[in-house]
Amino acid sequence: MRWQTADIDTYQQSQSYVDTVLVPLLSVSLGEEMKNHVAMGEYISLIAMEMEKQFRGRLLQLPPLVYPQNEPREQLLRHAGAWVDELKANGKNHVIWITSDPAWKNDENDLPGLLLWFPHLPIEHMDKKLQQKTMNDQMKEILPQVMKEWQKENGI
Amino acid sequence: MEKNHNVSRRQFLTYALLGTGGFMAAGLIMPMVRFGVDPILQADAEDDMIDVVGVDELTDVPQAFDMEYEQDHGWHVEQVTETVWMFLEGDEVVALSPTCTHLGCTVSWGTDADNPEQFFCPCHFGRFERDGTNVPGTPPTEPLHRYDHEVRDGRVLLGSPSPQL
Repeated sequence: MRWQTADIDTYQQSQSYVDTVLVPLLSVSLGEEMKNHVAMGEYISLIAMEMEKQFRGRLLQLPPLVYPQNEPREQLLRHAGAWVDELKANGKNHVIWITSDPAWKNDENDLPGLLLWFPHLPIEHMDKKLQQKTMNDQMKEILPQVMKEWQKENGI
Repeated sequence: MEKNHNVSRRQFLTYALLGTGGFMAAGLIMPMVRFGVDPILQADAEDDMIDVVGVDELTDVPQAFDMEYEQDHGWHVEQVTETVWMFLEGDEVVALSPTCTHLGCTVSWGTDADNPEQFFCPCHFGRFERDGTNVPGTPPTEPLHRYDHEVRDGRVLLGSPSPQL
């Protein structure tokens, strides 16, 4: 389900079925690396849309956590922790973070929940068919990881 | 015996100005309103069938095919890709929607190791038989929706999905 009023009505009627939250982690920089950050953001947003479609009835896609590239890591982790507190307080057991920003890989153990890191693919150069195929392949890889997360008794 | 209608010069002018002015204003505003709500007023475009795949590519094992079309939202047109599960039942083409009838997740054929001959929804373990019938005791309460279809010149054309009940 998406962060939009129509879906939230469904969510509120079937809350007990929705135990998972999806949060894209998007870095922003206007410096030399700008184009790279834009491309990573686009790719992750596409993945988020596909995941929402695949797991619609069990997953609530939240707005992304957007941060400046240079934000100190401890501060970012604290911020992510505040999201987790909010989710836990509302009975959500699983949080899936998705990102292309390699910096998160070092923090994987400090970040509660499941972190899925994707090397960003240059989909802007692909035609529609290839894009679709790339996404489908990506979903096939994601599915077992999400299923594994769901098998955990206590998530976050 | 004719009644004498006394319309003063002032009244006559007022009526005449209001009348013409109103007429002109309506002439200006109506097209604007019409322009603004145009897509709403247009009759629904004919529900066209979409060419998806050749019949010769279908087997009796369900396979996923992409169905691409443009969706008209009135003010903007969106390119949509939908997945459809298709197979042959004898000579008959069956096209099922992958949307789980429980809460809308995406189902796949044969992804549950314990039930390889069924459609499986990973979200809440909903299961469906090959023909789309929901397996009792799993969360879905109705069968997978089925697409209207038509075979023309060896191609399968699909319409829109509707409930099987």
